[in-house]
Amino acid sequence: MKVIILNKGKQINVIDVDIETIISEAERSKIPDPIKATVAEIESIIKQENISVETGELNKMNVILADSIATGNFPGSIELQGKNMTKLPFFKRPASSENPAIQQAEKFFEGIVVYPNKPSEEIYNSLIGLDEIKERLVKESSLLVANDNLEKWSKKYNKKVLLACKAFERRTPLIVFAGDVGTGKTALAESFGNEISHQLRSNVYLLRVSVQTRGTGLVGEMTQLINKAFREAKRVAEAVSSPVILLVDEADTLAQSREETQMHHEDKAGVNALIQGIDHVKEAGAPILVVFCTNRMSAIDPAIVRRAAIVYEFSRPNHARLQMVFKQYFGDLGLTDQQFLQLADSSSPTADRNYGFTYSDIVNRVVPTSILKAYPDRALEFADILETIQSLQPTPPFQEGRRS
Amino acid sequence: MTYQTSTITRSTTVTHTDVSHVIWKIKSDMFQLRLFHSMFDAEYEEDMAFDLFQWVYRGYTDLIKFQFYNPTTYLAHCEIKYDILRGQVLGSDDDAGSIPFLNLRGTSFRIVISTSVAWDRLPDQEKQTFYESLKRQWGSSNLQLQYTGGSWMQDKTYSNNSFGANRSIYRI
Repeated sequence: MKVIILNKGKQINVIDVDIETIISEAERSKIPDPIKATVAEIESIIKQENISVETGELNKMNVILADSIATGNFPGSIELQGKNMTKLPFFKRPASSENPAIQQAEKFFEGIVVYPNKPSEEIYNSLIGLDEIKERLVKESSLLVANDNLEKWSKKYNKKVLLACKAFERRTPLIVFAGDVGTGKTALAESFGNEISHQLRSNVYLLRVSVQTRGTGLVGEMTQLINKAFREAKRVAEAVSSPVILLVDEADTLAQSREETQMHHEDKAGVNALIQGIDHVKEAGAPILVVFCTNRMSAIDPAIVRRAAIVYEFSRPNHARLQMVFKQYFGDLGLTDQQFLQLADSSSPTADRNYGFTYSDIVNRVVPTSILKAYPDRALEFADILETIQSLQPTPPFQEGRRS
Repeated sequence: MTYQTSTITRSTTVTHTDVSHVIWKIKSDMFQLRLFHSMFDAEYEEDMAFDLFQWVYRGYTDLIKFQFYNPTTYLAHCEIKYDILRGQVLGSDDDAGSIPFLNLRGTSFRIVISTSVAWDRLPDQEKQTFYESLKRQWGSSNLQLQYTGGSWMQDKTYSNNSFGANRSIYRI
């Protein structure tokens, strides 16, 4: 079925959707109403085309689909009014290395990224199947680092600062990304700052804490390093007058539960320092957002999880999303819908293994291996991709007690 | 219509094919009601089959009742009740029918469904969108029927895969 997007009478996009697969996935989903789930999935596909559609149009689609599923007569196309989501022009990248605070921070952090930048935008846009998370993440994190925007909104639409806004402001600027390996946690954590940058019309800095922060084991070292990470983040935020994202990847190595019996005393002190650092960021009102990425949600200290404003859980792509990923990377090869179905089938869970390919497996293993099969002598073909999938094993799910 | 609260737990997949199969059986019962008892016309039958599919498939009901009652005393003369069952392999799938032998003379007819928790949790805007997808006007009613002097009998099961409906009939 085709979804035709119109704007002021003109066709701005035509999106092919495999309606039968989407309905089938919707019927398997946890959403009680399969039609509602189908509409949500189609909306998510439309958004990937950088198009927004108003609620009224989605309701219209809901009614059309309800009729089609009951009667078994699906229209060849649905017309919806929509518009392209506009992006603000890029800001000039500041000469960060000239700033002494940045120079100092560069020695400490594993990496510093200044948003907006084109590569981050491309990474962010390439993360498909995460639309719900993306939408809420950008909105919420923008407000966590710029509370006054919430007050402006409240005054504009409610003519006063609502009591509810105060509760929002009291939240700790901590976000946890938890989930299986290869599901896009780190890629999203490293790129969503670009969207916040657009939203706030300001540069945003990402400071990535190295797992080396754990130190060499000297007593007191970890506590000092954690304290320093927060100190440096605050210094950068003040020096550049811009929001800062402090990214702690593999957060479980830093923030593992103090209840774990094998934990070293120094680790426990480090976790306390981490909690204090997070609390200090909140109290100081510094525009710092702390992001934890972990494969082992259960290993993170409950006191840290409790403080989190949001915990996002990531999962492997389902059958419909696998098709979308393959269409994203091989959509210009002229493959048929049946062939995309076959690719999704081959990368889905099987009777022998109860897990399918991750987003990362497809992007980092299937795509390059397929290309290298054909390069440099011939054109890339469907068989190259299918054989690649069949020859590879998806990354096994992360299991407690084993590091990814 | 009277709405009462009941619970649906979506533990296994229910496909539109499964629901269509069972609704088709219920529609066949309606066909007999139309043919032998002239309770409604063909258009009403088509519309109601469509609407019941929506209520059931979308998880907003698990109980459908065809009520035949005295319009003055509200005494229930007969009721055909379908208990919707999800996530159970029922094993049998009976032929529809056995409606001709009911004595429905002089009764009024209505179709009543009991709404689920999923419906109760639905925002008003989404309820409105759902109503727009239906063929007939649906609304709430406080009319309570009197059940005196009759008895219930579970007589048929309609099912497809792990979805089905148990039909029971009340008659005086």
